[in-house]
Amino acid sequence: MFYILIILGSILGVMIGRALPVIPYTYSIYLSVGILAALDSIFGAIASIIKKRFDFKVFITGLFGNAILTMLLTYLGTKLNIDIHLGAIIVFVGRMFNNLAIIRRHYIELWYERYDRVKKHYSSLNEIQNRRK
Amino acid sequence: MSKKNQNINGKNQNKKHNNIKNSPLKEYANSFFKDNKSIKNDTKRENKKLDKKEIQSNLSIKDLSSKMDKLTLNKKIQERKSEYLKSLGYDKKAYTENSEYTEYTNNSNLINTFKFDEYEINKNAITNISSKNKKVVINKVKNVNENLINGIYKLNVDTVLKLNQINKKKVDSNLEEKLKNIKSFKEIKGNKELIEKISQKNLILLIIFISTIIVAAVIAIQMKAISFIDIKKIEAMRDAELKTEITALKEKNKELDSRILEIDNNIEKYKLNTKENKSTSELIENELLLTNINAGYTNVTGEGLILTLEDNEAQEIDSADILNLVNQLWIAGAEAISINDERVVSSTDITTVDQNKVFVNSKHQTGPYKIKVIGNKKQLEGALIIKNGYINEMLATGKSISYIIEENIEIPKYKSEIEMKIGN
Repeated sequence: MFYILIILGSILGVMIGRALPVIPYTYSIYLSVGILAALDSIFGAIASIIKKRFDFKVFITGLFGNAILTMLLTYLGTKLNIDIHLGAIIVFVGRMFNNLAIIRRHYIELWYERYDRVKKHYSSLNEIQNRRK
Repeated sequence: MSKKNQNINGKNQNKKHNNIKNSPLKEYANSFFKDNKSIKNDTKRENKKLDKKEIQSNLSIKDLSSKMDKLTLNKKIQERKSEYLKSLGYDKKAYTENSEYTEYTNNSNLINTFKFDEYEINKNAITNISSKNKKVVINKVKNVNENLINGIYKLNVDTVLKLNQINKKKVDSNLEEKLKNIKSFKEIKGNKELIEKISQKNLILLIIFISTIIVAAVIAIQMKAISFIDIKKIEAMRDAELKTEITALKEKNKELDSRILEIDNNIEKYKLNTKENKSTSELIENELLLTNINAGYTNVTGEGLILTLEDNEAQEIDSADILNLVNQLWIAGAEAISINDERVVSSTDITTVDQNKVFVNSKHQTGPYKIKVIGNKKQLEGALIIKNGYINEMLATGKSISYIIEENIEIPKYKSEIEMKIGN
């Protein structure tokens, strides 16, 4: 159900995005920064699920709040003639890499454990066969 | 039974009258006694019969009692008679001395005694009968009552048992209902909790669904916006390409400087030629070729861009857009330009007529507008793509523009002639 909803939602979203009018290039920076914030919070959510301290409220507020905040900051940057969005990008990308590292390690450990188990199983089987011989 | 009694009485009465009319009294009396005995026997038998039959009607008792009353009445009448006679002033002695009177008195005494005996006997009989009847009746009543009581008791017991059973059933059903209610209440409570859990889960799922839609839509919009221009090119251009452009401009300046030198040399040559009048025709021919190319009287081929401006749903292409583009291209170093294969020359007009119709070289043009440009392709592209440049502006206002870089573009010559009538 959960995955079906996510897939359905993404398809629907893409369709809606295609139907909507094109936004001017000058404003596309806001959207890109927002997307980055959203991606960061999604990866953060996955990492927190692995760490077992996931909180839905924190996730949702982070997803939309961070995006809106970064957009506001970029607007401020354009007014002050400073590329503040660069700072946001650095922070978000750094966090994304951290979270990705956490996820990677978790899965590596999982696979390694499985591999170990399989190895032990086969070695025990081999021993039994050797004894029979 | 009653008839027999009556008969007995009747006999007695007949005999009484006989006694009074006829004599000797003693015999009569004896006979009466005998009769009495027989009556006694009769009564005994009858009583026995009564005992045997064990049923005595109340009627017989009533008849007997009524007869008894008659007897008592007779007695009273006689007493009253005697009293009356006394009150009349009968001489008792004279009266008593009369033989007839004595007879009468004797008889009456006898009768009285007899009557009294009969009365007693009857009384006894009546009492016997009544007592027996009483006993019988009482026994019967008792039996009946007992039976009745027993029956009623049994009935009562049965009804009580039945009622108890019914009550039990009712109570059981009530209990079951109560238990059911309790169970249903528990179920409802559990269901409520479940519903709350499900609703919470559904809410989370819904929020996730909506957020995924939003994120996907935003990404799609961004991709669409970027798909019009290769964003990487512009990003790269920002630093490196601009530098190269500057250097290119510097080189161009150098070229221009060299060109100035060449033209200066040419002027000197002309000056010399005019002095010597040699090979001027050759020089003029070369100049003519160049001017023809510049004026647009020849087909031109070379590297450059093909831009297409298209009307889309939101915005339409204005003549001002085309004019602006042409100007930008001239600035960027275009050598030849054509709009829908109409060569742009010095007298070219680009205007709108009737608000919508775009006219180029006084000819009506319709979209998509294909604008061919010959020139340094890098320079042309750079000039258009630059941040806040022409293409950027067009996209910002929602107009659609695209371009292709080509190595070989052919631009046709100017189809009509530039005429000079007034000027010299």
